[in-house]
Amino acid sequence: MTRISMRSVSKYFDGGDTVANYKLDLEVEDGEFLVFLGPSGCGKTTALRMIAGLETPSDGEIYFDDDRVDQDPPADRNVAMVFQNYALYPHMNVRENIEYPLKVRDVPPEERDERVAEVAELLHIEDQLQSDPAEISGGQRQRTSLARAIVREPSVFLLDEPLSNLDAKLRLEMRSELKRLQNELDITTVYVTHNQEEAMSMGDRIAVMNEGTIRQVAEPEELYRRPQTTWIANFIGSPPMNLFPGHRRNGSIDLDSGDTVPTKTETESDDVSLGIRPEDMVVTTEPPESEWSIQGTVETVEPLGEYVLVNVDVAGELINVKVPSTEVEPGTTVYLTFEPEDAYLYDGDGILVA
Amino acid sequence: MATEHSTERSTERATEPSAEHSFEDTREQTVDWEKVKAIVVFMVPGLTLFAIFSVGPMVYSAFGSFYAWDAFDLQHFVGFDTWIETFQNDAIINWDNLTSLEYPMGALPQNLIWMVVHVPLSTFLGLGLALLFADLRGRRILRSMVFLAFTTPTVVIGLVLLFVYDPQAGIFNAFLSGVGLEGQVRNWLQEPQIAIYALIAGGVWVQTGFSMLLYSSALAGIDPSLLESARIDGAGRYRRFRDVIWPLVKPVTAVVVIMGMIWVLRIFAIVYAAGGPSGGPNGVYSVLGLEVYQSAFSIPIRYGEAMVVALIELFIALPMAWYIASMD
Repeated sequence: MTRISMRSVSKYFDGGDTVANYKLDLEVEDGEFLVFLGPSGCGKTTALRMIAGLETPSDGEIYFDDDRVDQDPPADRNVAMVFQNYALYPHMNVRENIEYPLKVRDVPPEERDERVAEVAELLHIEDQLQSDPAEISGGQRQRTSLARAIVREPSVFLLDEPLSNLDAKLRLEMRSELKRLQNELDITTVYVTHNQEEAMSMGDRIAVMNEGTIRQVAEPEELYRRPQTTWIANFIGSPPMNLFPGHRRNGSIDLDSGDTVPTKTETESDDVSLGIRPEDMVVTTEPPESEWSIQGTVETVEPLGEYVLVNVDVAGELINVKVPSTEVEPGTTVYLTFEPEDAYLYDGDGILVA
Repeated sequence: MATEHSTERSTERATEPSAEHSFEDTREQTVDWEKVKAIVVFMVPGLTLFAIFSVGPMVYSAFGSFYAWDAFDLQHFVGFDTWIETFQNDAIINWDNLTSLEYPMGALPQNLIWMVVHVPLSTFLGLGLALLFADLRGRRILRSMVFLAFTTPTVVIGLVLLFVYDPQAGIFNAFLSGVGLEGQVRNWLQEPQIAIYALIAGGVWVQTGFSMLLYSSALAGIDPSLLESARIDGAGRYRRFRDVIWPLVKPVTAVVVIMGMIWVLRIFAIVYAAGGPSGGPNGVYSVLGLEVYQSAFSIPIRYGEAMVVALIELFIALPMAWYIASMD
């Protein structure tokens, strides 16, 4: 039962030449499942390692509830961590691996046996207990690693891209398994991933990171509905939001593509970007009556079964549109129409206006 | 009854795969005569050289050890006479001194003592240095400096030891006086009961470089996340070493220990350079290699004895070579 607070935490490497994290401020509530989401090298793993105690912050403070922990070694923080490569001790069998944290903490053997049996059952690896890590499958290794992490009932549970070494089918399976486990155990969890699907499906809240800083912390729905900057808009969604650069003039926007769309929103900035999600646009070949339309040429059509992805060239920019089905052929001139409430307006600094 | 039953089951299990195996073998043989021929053709040159230069001399000396020799000429069959003489030779085993644990004990016990002292010391020093240097800035320079001793010819090491332990100009005595241990100043290589340990220290210096290098690469091969995981699991430095590092470098330890034992068994030049052909005053640090040389090349030439001593070395080394060769 732990609340994690990061207060203005920074981490520099190489004597300040490399900034891994800059002024992170974050509260993780007790029992919450928080996801650090960001591209490779954005500092999300370093942030996690600072919570674990594997790295010491160069600046700032980390609290578990009201105790300052940023100078404590990992052993004193009662955290458990699952590594991307599982980090199972190769010379111990599954049972000994799971048992190890208890052994180090001098838990009596009878209690150890009991707890190992308990988590093994919880994670369905009872039959693998005597096997060596090298003999079992990737999914079973993952479960062993999870079992080792939860066996001593940690106050904070940290996961560093735990699913990225699994194949697609297993990843889906473990995703729901992890979520179930976290719900059952109700342990404060911090999860690092670059996979937004994982983040959206598992996280209670998501902290989007880029270039060492947190860009937005929000619930998945909110993050999708209201991405606060063009960078986040460009990052979330598959494919991500389309952005049309333009200028604001007399209550409407002149897009660089030549189209003009009306807007009611007021902003100080002259340079703006109009953002529209691929799934919020409709492709028509006839000029529409709606004022909210943009003209372009179809480049490619990708039928993906569930939907069709139409890639449209609008003034040199490739725009993605998701439609249920379409008749258009590459080379056709098309009009992309959308509802005004589906459009996002970003100012010149890339901040969401409306 | 229970044991009977279990043996029955185990034989059942044992025969099953071997039957499969031999079936596969026969099938392969019938199909692949060409392959067998090719293998033989390719192996003949290597096997010939191995037979001429390795197996041949071994068989010859085993055979020769049962004959009398006139210098290098084979005479008549003497059975185990040379063997018995050798084991009664004070230079090989000095039974009286051995029971009272006083040097000289003879080359064989001295060589074994050398092994028992040298191997653990050089192994643990090597591991210690490898651990110490693992995360250190400038570790390459430090490693090179330690490894340098291993690359130095052993004769030179022997000479260096002569200088280091020199009673007048030696830096070791100077060091002892410097730290206020004047009482310990002595002629290290001439004191019968101490000299061998002074030389062993030199051997350890050499071998440590080698074991450090092997351990360094073994440590670099350990996945850092294993150690981080152990830290999070609550293991301190000592437990991380005992529970994670030590078991993971075990194969390297086996190699280091056995290579060290073989190295000590073959030791010659250091002893010769420091103590001459006799191996120090009264042979207090003589070793087997030195005795082979003495018997074969000093007047009177005792070639049969040289063969016996060489065979004793071989008997000690063979199981170790076998172990190394059968490692995965």
